[in-house]
Amino acid sequence: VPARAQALEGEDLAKLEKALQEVLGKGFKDLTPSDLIKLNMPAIAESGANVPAEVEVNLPSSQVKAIHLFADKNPTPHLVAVIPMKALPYYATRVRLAETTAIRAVVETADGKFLLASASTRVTVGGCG
Amino acid sequence: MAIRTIVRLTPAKPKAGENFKLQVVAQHPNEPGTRRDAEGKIIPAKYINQVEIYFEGEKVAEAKPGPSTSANPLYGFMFKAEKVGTFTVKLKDTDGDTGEGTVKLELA
Amino acid sequence: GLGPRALAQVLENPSRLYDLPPYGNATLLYFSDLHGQAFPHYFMEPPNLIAPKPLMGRPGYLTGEAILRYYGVERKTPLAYLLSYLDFVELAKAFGPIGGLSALTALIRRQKAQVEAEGGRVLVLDGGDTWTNSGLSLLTQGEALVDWQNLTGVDHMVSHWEWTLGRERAEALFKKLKGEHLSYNVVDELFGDPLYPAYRIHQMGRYALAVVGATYPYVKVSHPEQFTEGLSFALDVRRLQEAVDQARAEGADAVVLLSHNGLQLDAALAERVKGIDLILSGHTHDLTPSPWRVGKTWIVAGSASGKALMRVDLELFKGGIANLRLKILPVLARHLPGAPDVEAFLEKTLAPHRQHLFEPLAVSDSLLYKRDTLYSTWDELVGQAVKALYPEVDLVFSPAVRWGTTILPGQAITRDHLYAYLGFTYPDLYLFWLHGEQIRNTLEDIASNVFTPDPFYQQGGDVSRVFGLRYVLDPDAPVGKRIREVEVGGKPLDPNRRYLAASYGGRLQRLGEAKAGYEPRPIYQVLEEYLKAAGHVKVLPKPNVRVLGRNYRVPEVSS
Ligand SMILES: [Mn+2]
Ligand SMILES: [Mn+2]
Repeated sequence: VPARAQALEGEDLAKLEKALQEVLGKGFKDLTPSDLIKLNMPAIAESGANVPAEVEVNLPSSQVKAIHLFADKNPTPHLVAVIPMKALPYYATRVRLAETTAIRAVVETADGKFLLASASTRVTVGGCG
Repeated sequence: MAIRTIVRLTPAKPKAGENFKLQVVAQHPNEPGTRRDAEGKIIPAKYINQVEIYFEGEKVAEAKPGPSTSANPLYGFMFKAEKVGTFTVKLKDTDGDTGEGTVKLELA
Repeated sequence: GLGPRALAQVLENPSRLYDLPPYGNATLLYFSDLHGQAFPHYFMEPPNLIAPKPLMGRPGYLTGEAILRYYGVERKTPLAYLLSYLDFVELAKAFGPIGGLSALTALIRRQKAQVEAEGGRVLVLDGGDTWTNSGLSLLTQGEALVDWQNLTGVDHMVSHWEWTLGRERAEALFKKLKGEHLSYNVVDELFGDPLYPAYRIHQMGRYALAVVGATYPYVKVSHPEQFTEGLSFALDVRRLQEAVDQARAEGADAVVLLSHNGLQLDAALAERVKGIDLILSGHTHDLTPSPWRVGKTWIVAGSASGKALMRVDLELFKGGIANLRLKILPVLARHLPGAPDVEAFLEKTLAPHRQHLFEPLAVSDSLLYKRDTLYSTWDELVGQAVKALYPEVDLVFSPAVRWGTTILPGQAITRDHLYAYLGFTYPDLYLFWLHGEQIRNTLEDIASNVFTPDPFYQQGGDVSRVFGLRYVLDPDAPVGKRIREVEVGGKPLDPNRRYLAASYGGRLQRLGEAKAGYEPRPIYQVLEEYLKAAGHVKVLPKPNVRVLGRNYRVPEVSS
């Protein structure tokens, strides 16, 4: 397994692990990072109370059982579970982020795999001219 | 109280075989249960935790949002346009309040 | 560059600076970040622009001798006066003040007439931060600047501080503007619908040129949200790419991005977005005497404060811009004719306010400047004033805005100057309690925005100044480890103690607990009270930050 170059800003693997176990009954090591998932998050949130999140999964609908979003540092890291059924494997929403955090999209496939994409969003007090 | 629910398709009239977005916006505070009011008291949790999409009466997608969804939330799905018909979106929050919105899919 | 003798000739006969032979087949006259400065004034460039290590030496981080060397500009020339803090007081006296609406209009008109007389086409482009932060702006809620844009013939503008007039006011003024506000990224928050055209295509002789507009993407992060309810400004690379592609599909031969993203973010976008020939880059107030080439995109920064007009002549071809010529036209007000209609308009608009704006409040016995990554004598003066009026305050935060003006040694300070430095539409000074730990975290948070090497994580600001506090900054340290040895009032910062902080022009007060019994009041009133009581002020630069791994420079402030 190649070591990751740098930890994501706002990463909290211990907290994430707990949420993954609770929601999926799986751990971080059971997730496979995949280029098939595109997780679009802003680098800097306009407001932590209202952060757009978008997941696109480049797999046929029939192969996607569920899409989950997690934010490592949130009081409740699990943001949403989506069951696409007859929809295309895509979801967009707006979430609250308590502080700068790593965001995860976890896709559960029909053949029992858990695919992962990660991003990071900075939540800041801000101020500049 | 009914949750005000607006549903929109983009493009409004897709071509047959084209992908389109179904976007739902709800008027709802989505209180996560961790925020405090001006006096420092915790505002109790009240958030939409069930989003169901029906097409011509058949459930075609579902989302179960947690407490960390924004106020006046957006829920966006994507479908492939096949036949005309009506989408119905049903929302429910943690207090059991519900909302419903519909939109007609017409083909270009 | 010009030697002293050539210089004397130029000032006798400014046409040598301003008369250009024709070039190419389209001309853009571009300025940015005027910040409502109506009258000729002084503006010294920053002594320090501290870069994250991987970005050192790039345009946007060059100052003093380095910027002169980089662009091959001789010391003590008009261009050196615009570009570098070196010899500032001496050059200010020799060349006189810069900018002013009258001179800028006259210069734009004359350039336009020259090009059009030769059969060329001209667009006048305004990079935004035009309507606010001055006396004229505050007294007319931005309207006088729109009237001026209309007199001058601005074709397009983009925006940032304009939004601090409030959404309703900004929208009304965009309607009044005869030119057109362009924005690919101001959208309705609900469904993400665009609210302004993303681009406009202009036929420039045989070729079609698209101008795409980009609004500052952090309006909501940097300013109180109540100004922009229901709007989103977020950076959206995909949407920008779509706008560029659509303009090309509609027949644009070349695409120019009129941008208020700031120079570093624009350079990063030039690498990611395909099909932009030229970016006219505002917000960070940089001046680039020659265009910066990033991939296949040229970047020209727009300077600020009315210092200069960029004349960009384009050699267009079917696929884009084959070549370009950039000339910096310094707005040396003393050596340029004025525009009589603009002068009459200002005279009429300001007639009832003359006494208020130009009454001398105190004399400065030293140079007061604002721009720098970390520290300025102006902010030191503000700190002194707040502390003099509210002695219980432990530390004073000043926002690191890039706008302002410069006061020469011996110059009288007027209210017009106060507004040039402190002209916020949310001017209140707040007093509030912060824990030591919060102070530390705030400094780290700001440092992480400024010293991150990834432009997508920068917000294009300098570092908030903190009077009453000292620290050591390691810009190269990882996130959370950049701020060291913090002291307040000469003692190490106690993470658990409460400190009384003062701040204005930002949102910091929300972190703390408001001081009971204190009623917030505008910071310019606080300064006025202090200046009137003092009569004379003298601020010698004593930076409160020690920077590791960089040569931190301090300008000459008296002469
Ligand atoms: Mn500006
Ligand atoms: Mn700006």
